[in-house]
Amino acid sequence: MCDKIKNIILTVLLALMIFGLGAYMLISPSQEFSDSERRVLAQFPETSAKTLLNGSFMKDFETYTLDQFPFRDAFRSVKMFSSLKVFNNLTANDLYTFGDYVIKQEYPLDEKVVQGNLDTINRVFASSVEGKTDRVFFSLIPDKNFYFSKESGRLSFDWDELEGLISDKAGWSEYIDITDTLSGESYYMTDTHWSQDKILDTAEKVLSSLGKDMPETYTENTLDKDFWGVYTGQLMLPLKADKIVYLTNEIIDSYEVTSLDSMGNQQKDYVYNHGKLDSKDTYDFFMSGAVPLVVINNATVTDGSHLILFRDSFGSSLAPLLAQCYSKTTVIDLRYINPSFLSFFADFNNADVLFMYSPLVLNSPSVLQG
Amino acid sequence: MLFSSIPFLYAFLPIVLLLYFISPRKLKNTVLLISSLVFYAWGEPRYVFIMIISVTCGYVLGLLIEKYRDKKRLSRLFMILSAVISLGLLGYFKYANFFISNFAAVTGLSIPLLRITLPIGISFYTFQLLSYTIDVYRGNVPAQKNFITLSAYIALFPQLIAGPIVRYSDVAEELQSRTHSFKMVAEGSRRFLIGLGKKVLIANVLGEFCDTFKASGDWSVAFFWLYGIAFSLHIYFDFSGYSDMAIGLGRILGFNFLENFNYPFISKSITEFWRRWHMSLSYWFRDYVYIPLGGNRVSKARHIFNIFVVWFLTGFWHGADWYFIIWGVYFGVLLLIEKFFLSDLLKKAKFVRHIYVLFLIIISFVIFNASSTTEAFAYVGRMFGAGGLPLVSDEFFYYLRSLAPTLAIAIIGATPVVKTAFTRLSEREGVRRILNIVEIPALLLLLIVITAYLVDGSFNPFLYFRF
Repeated sequence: MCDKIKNIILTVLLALMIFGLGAYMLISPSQEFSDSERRVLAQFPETSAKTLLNGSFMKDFETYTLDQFPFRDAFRSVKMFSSLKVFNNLTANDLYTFGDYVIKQEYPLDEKVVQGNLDTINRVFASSVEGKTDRVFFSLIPDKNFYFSKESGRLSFDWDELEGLISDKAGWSEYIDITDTLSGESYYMTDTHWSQDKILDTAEKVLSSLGKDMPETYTENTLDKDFWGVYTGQLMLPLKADKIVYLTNEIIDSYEVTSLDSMGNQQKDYVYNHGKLDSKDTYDFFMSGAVPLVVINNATVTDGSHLILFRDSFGSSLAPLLAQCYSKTTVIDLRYINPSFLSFFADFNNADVLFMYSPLVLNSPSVLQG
Repeated sequence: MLFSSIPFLYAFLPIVLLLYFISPRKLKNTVLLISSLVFYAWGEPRYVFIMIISVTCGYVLGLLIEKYRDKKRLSRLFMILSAVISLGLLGYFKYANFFISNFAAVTGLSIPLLRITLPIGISFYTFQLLSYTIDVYRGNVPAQKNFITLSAYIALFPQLIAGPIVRYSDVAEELQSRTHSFKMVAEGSRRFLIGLGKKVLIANVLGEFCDTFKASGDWSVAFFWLYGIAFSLHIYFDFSGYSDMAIGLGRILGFNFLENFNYPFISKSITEFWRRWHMSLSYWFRDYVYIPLGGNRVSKARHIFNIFVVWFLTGFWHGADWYFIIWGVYFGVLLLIEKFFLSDLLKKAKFVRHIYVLFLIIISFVIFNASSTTEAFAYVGRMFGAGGLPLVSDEFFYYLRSLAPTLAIAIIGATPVVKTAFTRLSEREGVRRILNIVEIPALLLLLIVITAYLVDGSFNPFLYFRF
């Protein structure tokens, strides 16, 4: 091809691309939600003299163009592929793959953030728990990176340092170490969370530390629908789908569950909510997802025992197993409820209180209320 | 507005190019001026007026300098007035707080700092205006009678906010009349895309690492050296990438801007490095400071003084802080050592001289990227084991592995190897035809990958915006 023809073809093709994509971006109707990223997308910003002069329009317009760019997901795939497979970066957007697993490299540990979250937990303990029961426990839920980082050559924070912080800040609790009950394979391939059928040893160890014996018989049920976890849309590369397996037995089947919605209304709920299978996050199947407070009444235990579990989303699949040994289990998610309301919904007197959090929450700023 | 942003690439640029190419020849400078003001106001809505005031002063004083050319004193007065206004604005916005804080530190007085932010690109357009009025005063160029033409030169968006410092004399003819062709658009597009790739795919990745390094708690001696190497490459790819984009955009619009970088990391001496790095700034200081001071045609003591003045100002131009001045003077000292002691030795030590240059350049950029003078000294000390740091750390090995391909590409790209190979291959007609075919999908793919990086991320500030 001669230079002249090359110059013409190159000019025309580049012009088509920037004019075409530019026009499509500005003319096509805006999308409201990204299913792959599970978030609301930016809309065209407000245009006024004020927003133009203070520069907020320009800033918001840039966000808008990024969010509404044509074929955004396809471009994100190209970026992740290029970053991980072409430039061979060990992580892209903190994600990496190892075998069939997608893992987030949670690193580094932000000591100030962790201490801030532990201060919040301390305030909750002081205002709601202290003096009402002396059976208070704390357990850290390892993330996937804890198990995969060493083998894959990625970074992971110092677990001993995190446990040391808990020992310093939550000395009022008895620590339950569950790291030896899990492995990398205990987690979904495409999601942050652990798979319920792989955490029986964990539940048993926690219950044993609480002085309870866990029932041994379960039926494994597998949902027909493929489970594409939260990392699927973040990684944007071809992955194997997960399956959600959930455990039932006569005790779990007998639970009567109520939950508190965001407006403070009590409603009937389920530990396995099939109505949530079509939600954006299929993991909401467990305990209906982001719910401030759930109460599980277990008529098969009649000793009046009460477990209060302060938890993050990992607790959604663990709570149904722990609740087998208690007459009542109150599951509280401090991300969605102001702790000053707790006394209205939970009686802490003589209850077993378990704080159970993953570093994904403890290492995130301003997540817990209180 | 950033070149490496979706609003620029897919909104501003296509609209401006469309308006520019459909407008008649007489209106092209007007289109350029209006679009350049929009480009500037996009990031600095308030400060666009400062630029307009600067340009108006330069325009009026340029005409007055020329009008009173026969009255030398008056002409000189207008030239000095132009310099005072331009440097006064630069001094107020860029250096006022530096002087206030130092005065307060020396006197012990409590003086509040001014609540001002630095107008983007003021260091660049101030130097362009200065070069214009000084060149008119010297009679090198006639004063520009058309306000729009002069304004379009100063505000020209390709080089407005991060250079290169284009002198009026270099583009005076093209401002009056310039040609456009598919060849120029294709060459300009290729240059622009290569610059954009350097910025987005290399500089941003290394820049993110440098930020991560600074926040790290796992420092080691080797990690500091990795940081020094990564930052040196980052600033080169960031700034030379921007210059490539500016030159490419200029070519699309019919201008021929001079080169600003010429593979500085292959230099055999620090003196040569500064002939290859940010050439438009080096030449500006040479022509408007060093030579007027007497250059090297003076006594040895005065020559040394002249060199120190230039390097003090070079450092101070880059930032209003002592560590920038230290950075500039560091090069002044190195240039003097080379001039008086090392020049013969460097000619003989063929391999070692490259190591010598890279070693000193890496240290210089560690100083340059400090956030305070204390940090600059602390970082350099740690590169040599100060503070009892371990030799290596986990993070060092991790980032070395993770960045190895990017660093390898950056190191190769910082040498003329690829360009030389491409040029030599192109000399054969058959290979040239094949390369022409490959070039089109390769550049399109490059644009797709760059767009993908931009759509996915938001980390792309240009380093030279702060100057």
